[in-house]
Amino acid sequence: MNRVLLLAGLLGLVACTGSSAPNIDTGGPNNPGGPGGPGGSLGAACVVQSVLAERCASCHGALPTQGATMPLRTLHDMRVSSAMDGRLSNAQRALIRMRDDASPMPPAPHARASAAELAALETWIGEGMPLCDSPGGPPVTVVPEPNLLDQSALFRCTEGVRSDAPTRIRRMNRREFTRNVGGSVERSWTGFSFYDNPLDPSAIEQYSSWATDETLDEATVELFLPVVGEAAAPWTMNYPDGNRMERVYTDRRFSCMFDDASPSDTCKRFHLGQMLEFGVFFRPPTEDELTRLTAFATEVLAQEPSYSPRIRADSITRISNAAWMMTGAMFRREMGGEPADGRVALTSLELGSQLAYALAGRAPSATPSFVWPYFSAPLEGHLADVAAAAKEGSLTQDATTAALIEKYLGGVDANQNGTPRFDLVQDYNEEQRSKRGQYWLGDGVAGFFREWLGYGHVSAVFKESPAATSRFELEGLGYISAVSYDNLLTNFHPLEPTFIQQFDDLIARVVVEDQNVLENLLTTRTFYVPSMQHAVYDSHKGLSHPYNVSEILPATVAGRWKTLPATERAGVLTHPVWLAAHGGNFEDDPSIVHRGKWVRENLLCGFVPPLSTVQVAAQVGAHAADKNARRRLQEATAGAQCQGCHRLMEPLGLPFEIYNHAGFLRARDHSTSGGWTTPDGRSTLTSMPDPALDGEVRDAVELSERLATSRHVKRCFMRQVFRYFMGRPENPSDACTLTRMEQAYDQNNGSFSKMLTTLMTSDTWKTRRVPQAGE
Amino acid sequence: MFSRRTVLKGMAAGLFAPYFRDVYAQTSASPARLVLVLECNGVYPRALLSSGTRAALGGRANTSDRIFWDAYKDTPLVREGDNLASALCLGPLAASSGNIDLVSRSAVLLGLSNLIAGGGHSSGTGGLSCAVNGAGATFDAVIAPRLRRGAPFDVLRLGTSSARVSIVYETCALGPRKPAGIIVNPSLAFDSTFGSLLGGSTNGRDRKMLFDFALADSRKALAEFRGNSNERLKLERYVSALESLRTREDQLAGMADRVRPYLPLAPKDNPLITGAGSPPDSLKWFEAQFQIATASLLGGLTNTVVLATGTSGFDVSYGPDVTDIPRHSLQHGLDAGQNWDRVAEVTRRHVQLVANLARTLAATPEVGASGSMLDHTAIVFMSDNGEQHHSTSREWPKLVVGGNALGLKTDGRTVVYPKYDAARNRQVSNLFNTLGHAFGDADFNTFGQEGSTRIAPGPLSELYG
Repeated sequence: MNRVLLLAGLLGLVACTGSSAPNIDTGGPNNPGGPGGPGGSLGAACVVQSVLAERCASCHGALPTQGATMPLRTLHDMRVSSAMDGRLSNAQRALIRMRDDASPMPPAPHARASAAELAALETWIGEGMPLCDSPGGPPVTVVPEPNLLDQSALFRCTEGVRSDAPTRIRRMNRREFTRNVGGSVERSWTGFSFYDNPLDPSAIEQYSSWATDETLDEATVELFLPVVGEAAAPWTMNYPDGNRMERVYTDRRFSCMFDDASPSDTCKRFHLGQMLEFGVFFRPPTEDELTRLTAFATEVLAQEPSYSPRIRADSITRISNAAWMMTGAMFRREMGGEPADGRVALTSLELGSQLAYALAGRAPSATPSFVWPYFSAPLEGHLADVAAAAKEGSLTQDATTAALIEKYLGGVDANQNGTPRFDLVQDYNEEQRSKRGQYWLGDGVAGFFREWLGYGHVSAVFKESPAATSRFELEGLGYISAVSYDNLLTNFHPLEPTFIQQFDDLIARVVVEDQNVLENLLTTRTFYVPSMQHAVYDSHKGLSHPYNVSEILPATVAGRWKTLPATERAGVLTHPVWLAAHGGNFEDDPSIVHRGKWVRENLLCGFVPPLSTVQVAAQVGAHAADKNARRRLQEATAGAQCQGCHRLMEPLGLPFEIYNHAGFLRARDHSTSGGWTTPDGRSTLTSMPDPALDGEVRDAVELSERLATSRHVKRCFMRQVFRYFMGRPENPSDACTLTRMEQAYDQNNGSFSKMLTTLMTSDTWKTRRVPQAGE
Repeated sequence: MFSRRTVLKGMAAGLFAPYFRDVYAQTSASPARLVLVLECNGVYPRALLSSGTRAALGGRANTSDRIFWDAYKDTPLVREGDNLASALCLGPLAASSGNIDLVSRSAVLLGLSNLIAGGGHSSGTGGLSCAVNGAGATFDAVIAPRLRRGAPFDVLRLGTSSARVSIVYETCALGPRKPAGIIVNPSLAFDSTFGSLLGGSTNGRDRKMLFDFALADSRKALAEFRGNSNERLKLERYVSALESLRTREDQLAGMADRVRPYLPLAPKDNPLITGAGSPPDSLKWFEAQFQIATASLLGGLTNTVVLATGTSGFDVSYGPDVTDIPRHSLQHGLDAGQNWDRVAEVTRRHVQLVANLARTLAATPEVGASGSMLDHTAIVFMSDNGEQHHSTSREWPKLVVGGNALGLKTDGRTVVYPKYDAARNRQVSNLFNTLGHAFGDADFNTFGQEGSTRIAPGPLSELYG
């Protein structure tokens, strides 16, 4: 009776809207698109859910009983790594135990699972453990969970197996559009910018490059129209307000469109052809596209009440708006040429586009911006040689691709002493540029690190008393630290590079040096620290405090590179920007959870069920003088009901408790008596996916050093690189490419560029699968 | 960088919630509208506590505490005929020369919890979704298709923010992690809402040509497309969006004469905008946004409005007539000097804006039904995070105005529910369920994603039925 009641309740809890009737589909394809993707089988997931309710839940409930150690109520419970063996998921452990005749699950006298049920469980695990979806309900975008895949299988190449990703189209995203039209991604005090466009990437995907379901709906179109109108400015010669474009300014063939009351068809076709190729599509238009736009232009020009430069500029803006609304403008294609053996090779133009966006975050020949006295790129546009190679077809040759990668991945500014870096022209004034580090990365490459490390939003994470518990608070400098911290984020009183730029520069240095890149990222002590030499305001006088540096560094590029004490910092996870981005609002907030979750998901490629699906009111108790963050969190999450997930995060987050919520090194922390004690970053790691990571750690410095030596971590890093640059999550059919990326990295002393070149010259990069009938 | 002209050229109207059209397409049988007004930074229970209810509760309610849930009873306390205007910030509800009484058309709810939303400086979308931030659709998005009844726009989302942008995304959502934008610049809001109406025949012609051209292009692309169904859907949705936009152009053209009499001053002539200063006085900009909302409701452009002040950037500024201290500093020095009084004054002025809207609607007869527009409009004043600046989400004080014809017991009552950890506590989701019922859906009982933490499904019997 009890079991029946419990079962009924649990069925409600798991909120399975799918059929619970066995619907075993053990013959599903290899699920190349990931869980829930084309070919994925959701039937097995629903069977597993039913098995859980019927065979597991009576002991493995929210509060496990009868000796059970973990809840197995939901599919998410099955997806997390096992507390017994971190290399396996609970599901894999469950399968082992359910097949174990010596020590079976469920234990006697309960009936054991049927062969069909065990087969369904095995199938479900192999498919990446998708969720049970409801048939017949509203369409739901299923987000792949690549972290559920077996990492070792992803690095086991079976020769002849090719990446099973189909052809696709990708809607341009917010940053890409901004860059394509020569816009800045930095905020100005007032007014609009191209970056106000509404093409935000989907929030449900890990990387902005995935574009799984992005399109244009009504709201997006409405919000895009007022922004895109300004993109016409270079093509109207409307320079007082808009961007000056040398291509148009210096070529007399454009004149007829501005000067003639009734431009000829030849005149219109030239102007619009150039506009499409170098200002909208960033590829040559097809004859049909150009003809249709020319017809539209003819109609628009015929509606002019009279001729004047102003009226003509308005007409060209209308034509430009129409061009931008074409599918060729908003969606870039990876559709390839003629199929052969079920696959297509991407066209040279498609390869050029893919390469340019990946490296530089913009299209080949993207519009340069003019910010006096510099242009951000030559007259031909950004990445003009990529565009040229794409047009002439040489991008099918790996040597050409490799050379372009070398050129655009990043580099060192040869004129660091005051000469601006042209990659910064679009965003910063001349004075600001000269203060940046000498190393730079292409916008696309920098975007990978920004998104992987998750620090782009740091200025949006409010910090109450940023210096709380640091030595600066003890020294009575809390106010100086706080206003300077705010200035680091907002640049309200500009003096030095912003917080984000300082982190960008550190990463760029390690990547450009290209030696043992991941290891150095995780262990470097050399940070780009702001100088206070020319401090004027209070908001300048504590700029280096987040690094625990109070000395006044020289205001030179070389002077800002500072080696921090080995006991205080080690690599990106101890950088104040990363710590702040993954910290709470208060020093005693549960930053532990945020930081630990990031490490679990992004360095260990582990799975943590999202809060939104476990329906937990996640709150810690009230602030108290006798409770530090560690204690507040432990009081809130000590129960078995919470530890099912929190054990995955907290041990990895506790080492960061030597820093506060804003990334300042703590000088003290709350003691249980209500006074102060020494900060404590100790933690015990158990059941890590790499057993070498297990054991006691002193703090985040030791944790970072340990992570840096782990092969498992390195492979997870490769997977992240693959996800971002391929614009999709990896799947088992990508194993050969991932394996070769690892080989390239290892054989070249940890070279990021060699690893990336291997990816960008791979069959995975250059070809796609043709969709099957009905897919 | 943009001139108003550019905006007018390009854009006709505001923000929509298309995602739920298919899911929840049933429409309300009779006229019904929803206006959600949010004061981010918290709304204190003290602000809405009448003198009579204070006396009835006793205990900490009688002290100067701003939060006093320990005084709440074990069962809901219902005080009909309460003099709501005696509350610290509800004076604008009282009758005065030329202003009708709104006390008898309002209700105050204290004690509703929403722990799932998380609290803090902001609960993000949790305040309106009764879910973890980002985990679900907000009520406005869910209910808008039902209320739309042929109006051009599903939802108008307007507000103010300290973020230096024109559109923010942290309060409303179309679905899990599908944020819905709120226009926080009243000039852009004016142009985007009324631009097509004001532009005359030329503007309408330009937009029709634009959408016709884009439609032909996208349909051609779709016809020739060789990708799989997932990729095809991207193009199908784009085609569908363009079709909707094209259809709406005709609809807006037909409504121009109806809306024009209600239009507020254009931004260049509106002192609320031109005289707002820099950073702008949030109260002035918010009033300008109320003007846009009011005109849109009267003109039938939409039946669902969200107005949020301090959204996605709570450190808004005010004019010297209130304080030159930004909101965040006011909150952090709440016990210093006159800061508490200033915060209360801001809330009072927000209630004044609500009252102005309510009185305008009350003075306008409902078309196609008895009573006034206010009788068919539920206005909810609340916060985006709960009971204080650093909210715990344990209480979400609410003021509900109007909606008598919808069955709402907005008759001058205060309802105080048992506090957050009591068995008979009720949740914010129950209020949204109540509104769902009031809007004609008798099965609207489980809004939100509280799961096992849901205390009780269904509406609040003390407010509806």
